[in-house]
Amino acid sequence: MSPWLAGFIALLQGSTELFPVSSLGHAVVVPNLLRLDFRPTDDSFVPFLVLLHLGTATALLILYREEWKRIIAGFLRAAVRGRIQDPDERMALLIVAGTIPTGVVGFFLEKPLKSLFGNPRAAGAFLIVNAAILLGAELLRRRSERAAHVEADAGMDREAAFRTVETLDWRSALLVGACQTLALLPGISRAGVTMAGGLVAGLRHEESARFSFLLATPIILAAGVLEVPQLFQSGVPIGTYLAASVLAGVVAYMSARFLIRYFRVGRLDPFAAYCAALGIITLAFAR
Amino acid sequence: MQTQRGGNAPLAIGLLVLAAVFAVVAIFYLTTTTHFLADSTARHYKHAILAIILAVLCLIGANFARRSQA
Repeated sequence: MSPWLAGFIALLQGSTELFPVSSLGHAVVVPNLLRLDFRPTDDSFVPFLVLLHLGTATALLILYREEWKRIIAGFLRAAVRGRIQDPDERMALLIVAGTIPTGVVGFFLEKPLKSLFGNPRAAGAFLIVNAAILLGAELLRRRSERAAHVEADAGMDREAAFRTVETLDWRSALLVGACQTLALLPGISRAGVTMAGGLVAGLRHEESARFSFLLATPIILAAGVLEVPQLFQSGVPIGTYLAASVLAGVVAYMSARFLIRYFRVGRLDPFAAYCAALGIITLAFAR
Repeated sequence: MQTQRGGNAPLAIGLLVLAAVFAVVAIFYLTTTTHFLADSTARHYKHAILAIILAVLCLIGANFARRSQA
């Protein structure tokens, strides 16, 4: 892989990982549409993806560093005590509960799902499904807003009628976490399905995004760390890959900052439209 | 946060048993060349790590169940 191509894929991955548009779907679809000499099914792709993911996870850890310090300390306290006594401990266990389904399912279905990486048409179809999930979640949210007599265009006031992550119940956290398993399919966005799950559970948009980013960190980090030994295979251009990882991390950090600001009043609709359009283009033009 | 006295002993015991099972599974994957729940015959360290994590989570769950939280 040339440094330019590595840089392009890093930009693509870093910018799409946290947006609700499926980074994996983009990694499958975009090189095919642009006729680039890059195949996600190649063995060399795995160590590359590992470092890109580590870059993204590091960006999220830096962005939420204070929160993660409290969450980790809260998890240790609650685990030893066997009882939850403060919101940080509760948040820690909500994240654990939300991570388990994807961790286990992803681990055992990793190989069969990888066969889909080479199929851009399948990724295109899943992008359309992703668009439907995002639109469906927003339709349900608008119905809830009407039921709560909230003005749909009232911005921050509209959002104030809904919940924060700290008030999320266990069943909802598990539901949102289970949604992440869908994102193992290229084209289904992990951020998208968790945000959609969060909206259905009654979270504010900004809180859905925050919970999605917090849920993403352990999964992305674990997936990256478990594959680290692959980086030490002979022939891996570690310098190029490390530079790409830093680039992906910087772009992911900027994306996360943008999304947190956007979701204070923004909705998932534009991302749904984008996914639907890209899915249709892929089905029409992919080779 | 409201709590109630008295633990859920059957759940705690069940989770302890499950933790022990996962610990055995971890040792199995660490010490044996196998293709059980894996795609090739080898020592599957990632399977072992997953089993260890699940064992620890079961122990934590048992600790919670022992103290039964409302």
